[in-house]
Amino acid sequence: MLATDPANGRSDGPIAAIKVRDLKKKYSNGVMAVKGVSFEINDGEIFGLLGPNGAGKTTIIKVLTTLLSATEGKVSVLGFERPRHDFEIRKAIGYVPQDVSSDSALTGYENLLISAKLYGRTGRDARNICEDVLKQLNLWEAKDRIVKTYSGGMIRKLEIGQAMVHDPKLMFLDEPTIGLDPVARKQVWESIRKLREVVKATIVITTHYMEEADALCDRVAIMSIGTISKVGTPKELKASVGKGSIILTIKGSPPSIPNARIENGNLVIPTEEPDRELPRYIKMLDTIGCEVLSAKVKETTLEDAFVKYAGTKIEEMDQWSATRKMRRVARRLE
Amino acid sequence: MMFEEVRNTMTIVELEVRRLRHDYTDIAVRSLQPIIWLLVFGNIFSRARVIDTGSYSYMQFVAPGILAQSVLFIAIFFGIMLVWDRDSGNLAKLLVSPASRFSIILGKCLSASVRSIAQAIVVLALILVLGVPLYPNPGYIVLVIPVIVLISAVSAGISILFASIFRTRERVMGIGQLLTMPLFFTSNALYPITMMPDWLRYIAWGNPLTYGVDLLRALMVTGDFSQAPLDLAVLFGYLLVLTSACSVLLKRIME
Repeated sequence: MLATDPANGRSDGPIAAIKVRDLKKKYSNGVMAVKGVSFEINDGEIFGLLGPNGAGKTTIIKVLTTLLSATEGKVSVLGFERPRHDFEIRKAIGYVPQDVSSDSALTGYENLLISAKLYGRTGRDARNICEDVLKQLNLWEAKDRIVKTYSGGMIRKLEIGQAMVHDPKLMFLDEPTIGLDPVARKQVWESIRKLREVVKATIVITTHYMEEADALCDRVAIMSIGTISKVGTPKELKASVGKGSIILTIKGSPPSIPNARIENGNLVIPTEEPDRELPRYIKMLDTIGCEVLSAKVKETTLEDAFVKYAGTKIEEMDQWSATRKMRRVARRLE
Repeated sequence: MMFEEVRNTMTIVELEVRRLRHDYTDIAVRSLQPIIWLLVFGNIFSRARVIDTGSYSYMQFVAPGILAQSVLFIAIFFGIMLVWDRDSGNLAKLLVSPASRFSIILGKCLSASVRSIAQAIVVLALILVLGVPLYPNPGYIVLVIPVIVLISAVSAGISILFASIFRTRERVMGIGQLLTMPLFFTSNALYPITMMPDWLRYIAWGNPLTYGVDLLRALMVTGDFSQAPLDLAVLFGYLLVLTSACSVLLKRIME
């Protein structure tokens, strides 16, 4: 995609869907939620912001969707600069907030209809798009039920539908599967993939679920406390940690081995080829007089990459206030 | 552009109508309070004859006041709905849409009016049942509805303004309770302005409810519209200023 006319707010050169440079956001209560991040999101990819609750993911999404103003830094969305071209940005993006945003007192169909009208679709056109979306997301049967009676997964799908009534070029989904059971989670993933196929939109999600980022995202940014520490494809990130690890339970206190760490009392040794390396380590430990009680071989997960780049496990970083909010959302989706 | 703004505002009102259609209990419960005001307060003060209302009975004088009050008492808490919409993702979703801040706020103010209309009809019916003599022109009674819409939109605007500043449900609730009684008692709803001491008169003249009640009284009782242009100008002025102020302050509520 090439730039058209600089006069309408678009910059020159090939356009990344999103460009963020040195973004900082300080809230009025003094909390520095984002401490200077830079990244680009390519046209057509599913990009994930991965981090614990309170890492600043939602703040970044709110800045990108024009809900919050940036304290410092440059932000351009689909080639439009913030805040000068917020209106153009709003017309071209779809947004599913972390909180439940469908009106629980209305039917699914009514929710879609209101969204369609807010994006300028009226009459038959609006009714047609509602019908299309409901059928695509397998919600047609439930269209006349009050949303209060929907399951969590159905509500999330409806919300995704509401955000796609205007064929957005870019979609933001803030914690799309928070509080959902595994089956509903898979269904929502399916809807998100369908969204990319049908609408051909670039998709930005935030998540604190490793397996979600791994299964869904083309590229992932690892976030901790207001900063992005690494961006890459899940494959690259995992490869950069090593292919896997060996986990050994040792009688008595574990010896110190280069690169190894202690986790839950076990000795964890990161290694390229854990299955081939295992006999060597057992033999080596035997010679220094350590008795190995049990041994396990583990392939690398995104979580290992997260630990490497964020410096700690995701659940150890959750902030209390953010967790409380997350639980509230989860409760409403149940 | 103008057309789009109007359409966006109406879409937000449509949302409220659809909400209401699925739940009538709200209206039924809320119409109880004005019934008590009319039956108890109105009746007793009619008998007491302590308030000089000229050639009209006290029930005639107070009926438009109670009608305005019933509307004020609902709409002054409407800011809580906005905070609720903020806490759920509803408001975020509206603000990310291409609809302007002004059309969203105006839509929300008029949404408060939707609830008021239903209730105003209940109160009007009660006034008729009680046999309070109204101005003999059915057309005027129909015009009561748009005046109700206006009063309630202004009251909701006040509430949304405080919601944008104070940002939590509890505080907006508190502010609402703090505001209702002074707004009601410093207006001409229960007694004529001429009875007030000077200082109170100035407050009454700044109180939007006074102008709403004046319009309702003209339509329902006196048929005297000499003050109507001023009444309308003040009410529309309030609505415009409040909506503009809220559009600017709205970003505060999102933080």
